[in-house]
Amino acid sequence: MKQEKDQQLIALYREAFPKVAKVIHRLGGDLSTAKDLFHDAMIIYLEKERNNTLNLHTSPSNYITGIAKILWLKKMKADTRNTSLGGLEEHLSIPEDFYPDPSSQTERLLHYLKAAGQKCIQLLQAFYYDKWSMQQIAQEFNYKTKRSATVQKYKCLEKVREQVKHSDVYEEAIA
Amino acid sequence: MRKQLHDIQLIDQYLLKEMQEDDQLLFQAKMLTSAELKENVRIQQKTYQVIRWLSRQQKKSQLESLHQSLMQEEKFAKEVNAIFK
Repeated sequence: MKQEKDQQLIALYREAFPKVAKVIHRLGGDLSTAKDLFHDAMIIYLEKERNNTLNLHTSPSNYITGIAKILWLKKMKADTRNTSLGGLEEHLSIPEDFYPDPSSQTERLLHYLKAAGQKCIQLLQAFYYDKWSMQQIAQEFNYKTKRSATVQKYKCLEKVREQVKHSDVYEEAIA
Repeated sequence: MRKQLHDIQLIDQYLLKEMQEDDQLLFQAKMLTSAELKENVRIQQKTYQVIRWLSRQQKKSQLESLHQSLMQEEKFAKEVNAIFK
C-alpha cells in the first residue's frame, strides 16, 4: 500500500515537475525557485487529496502547475486578477497558514520539537496531518487498544501544547 | 483520565467540530466566562498549526531527496536542464 503510494508520487513528480519548470521559467524564475514552488504545490495537492477537499477538474499535474503559478504570483506580490489561469483559480485555494510565520521564535520552537520527543510528534502528525484513524495509530505505534492510543494522544498533546505555550509567552514578552 | 487531559480532550473535540450542538453551545458559553479556557483553546489551536508546519517541513525534505535522486537519471536531468538553458 505504502509502496504503491510512493510509486504514484514518483510518477506524478516526473510528469508534473517539467510542466511547472517550464511555467516558472517563462515567468522569469530559475531552477531552484521552480523546484521550491513545485514542492510547496505538491504538498498542497497531497493535503487536499488526503482531506478529501480536492476538487479536481483537470489532471493532477495541471492542477499542481496552477498552484505553483499562484504561489509564484504571491511570491512576486503580483495582482493575480490580471493573470489568466484559465478559470482554474476558483478551484485552487491555498491554505491560509501554509507558510510558518517567520519569527525566530517559531523557528526555534519547530527546531526544538523536531529534536525532542520524537514518538509524540510522530503520533500527533499521524493523527492531525496524515489523518490516520486511532485504530490505525494503535496498530502502527504498538498500543494494545484504540483507547490507550487515544489517551496517549492527549498526553502528547499536553506535552507539546506546554512547549507551544512557553514559546508563545516568550514571544509576547519580547514583542 | 486526569482533569487536564480531560480538558484537552474537550478542546480537541471542540476544535475538530466533533461536539454535539448542545455541548458546543455550552462550551462556547464557558469560553466567554473563563479566560483560562479561552487561552487554552487558542494555544491548542496553535499547537495543531505547529504540527502542520513540522509535517510540511518534513515532507519538503522528502521531496528534496526525491528530486536529487531523479536528477541522477540522465533523461530526467536532461529534460529539466534543457528548460533552463
